[in-house]
Amino acid sequence: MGVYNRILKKSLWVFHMSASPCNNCDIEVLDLLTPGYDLERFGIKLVGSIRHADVLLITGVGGCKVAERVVRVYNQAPKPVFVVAVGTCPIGGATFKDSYSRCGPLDELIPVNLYIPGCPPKPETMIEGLLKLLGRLE
Amino acid sequence: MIAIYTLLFPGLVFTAFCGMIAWWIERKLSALFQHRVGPPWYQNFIDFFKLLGKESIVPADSAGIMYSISPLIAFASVVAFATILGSAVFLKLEIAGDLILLLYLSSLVSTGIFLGASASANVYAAIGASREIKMLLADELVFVMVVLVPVVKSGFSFRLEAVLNTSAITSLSGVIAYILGLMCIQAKLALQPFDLPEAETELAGGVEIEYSGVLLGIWKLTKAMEFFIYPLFLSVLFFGIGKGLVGILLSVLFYLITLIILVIMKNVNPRVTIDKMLNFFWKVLSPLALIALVLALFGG
Repeated sequence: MGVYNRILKKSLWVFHMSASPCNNCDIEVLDLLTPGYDLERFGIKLVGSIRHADVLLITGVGGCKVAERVVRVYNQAPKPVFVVAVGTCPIGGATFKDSYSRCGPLDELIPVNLYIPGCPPKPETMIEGLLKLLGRLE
Repeated sequence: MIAIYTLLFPGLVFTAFCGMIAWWIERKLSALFQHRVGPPWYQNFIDFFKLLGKESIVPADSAGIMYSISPLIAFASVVAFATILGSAVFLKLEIAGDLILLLYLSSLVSTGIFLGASASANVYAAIGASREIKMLLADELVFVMVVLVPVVKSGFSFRLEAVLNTSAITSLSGVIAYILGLMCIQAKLALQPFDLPEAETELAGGVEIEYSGVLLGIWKLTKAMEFFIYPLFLSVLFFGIGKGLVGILLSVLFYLITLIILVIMKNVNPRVTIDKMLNFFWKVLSPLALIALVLALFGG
């Protein structure tokens, strides 16, 4: 697997999924694709379909209605796929911690490879997190 | 010998390599247009080899056999196109009526895309497939008339060798037909003003939305090879192959100019709707192509 992981490290295609977020993290994620940060120099590209993706990027609390969709989308992804949770919500729930419509932290639904905390995390933090993921594939 | 031609030199390996490089030129220039850095030169190779290692999913509702073989249909026709064109350009080999065969093969690629998208049982793919076939119907007439202009200029010969020895770009009808041909190539490559079938932001990938793994890799390879051969086809049709070192360098320069014009057109245009695209091709470009053809017939 060593050679394949070295290849995979340089070409990660990201599918962005919003699991009932408050939209702050999504705005910061979109910042990453603007000319200021330019993730394409690392080979990271945003794709429109989960079938093309290597990374499932999830923002938001994970409300009860969207939780089963998250699981379905994760099952539809071609493996190997990595799950990156952006923001405080997938970890602890932030303001929505005790909300009746929240179905658990994200790692009770699907396995998570990387957490990027922050409310919302800065784009620099996300780049650092993604580069950590690249180092972690070994 | 035919196996070597098909697999190695003008065919598969050579065209795939040059196509990946041409695609990288497109991505890098687009990045420079947007004041970004852009990917490194080996990015497309890495993307392709990565896709070979992913899981290939065949959706449960799809027509499985057609879903799996239609990428191979498109890929095989592109390889055949590359071999015939490449052996005429680089090796001076030719078969009778090869220009007509090339026109057939170029529309067979679109047919393969259409078949694969309709077999995958996805509504977005179905919309993409219908747009793909509409675009084929729109640009094929203009493209055939554009190809007929160099044929007329070379003395009514459908052999590539005769066409390659005359440069049609030096006349008025040649210039008009070359500009129209650029638009047709733009539509055949599904680049920006005419990227309706695989609109990333609207159809989420369109025709190839359900493909993953190896089959998606074959689609990407097909697209990369198209990036090399269609601009090459257009540039050798109109410029020909120069004699001597200076002539060959001028031919390469003309190919690069053709490619860069396509990339510039991609970056300065937004996506059009399908009715505007059909109107543009049928009501504007077709009469212009006919005018260019008549001009060429009268020696203009």
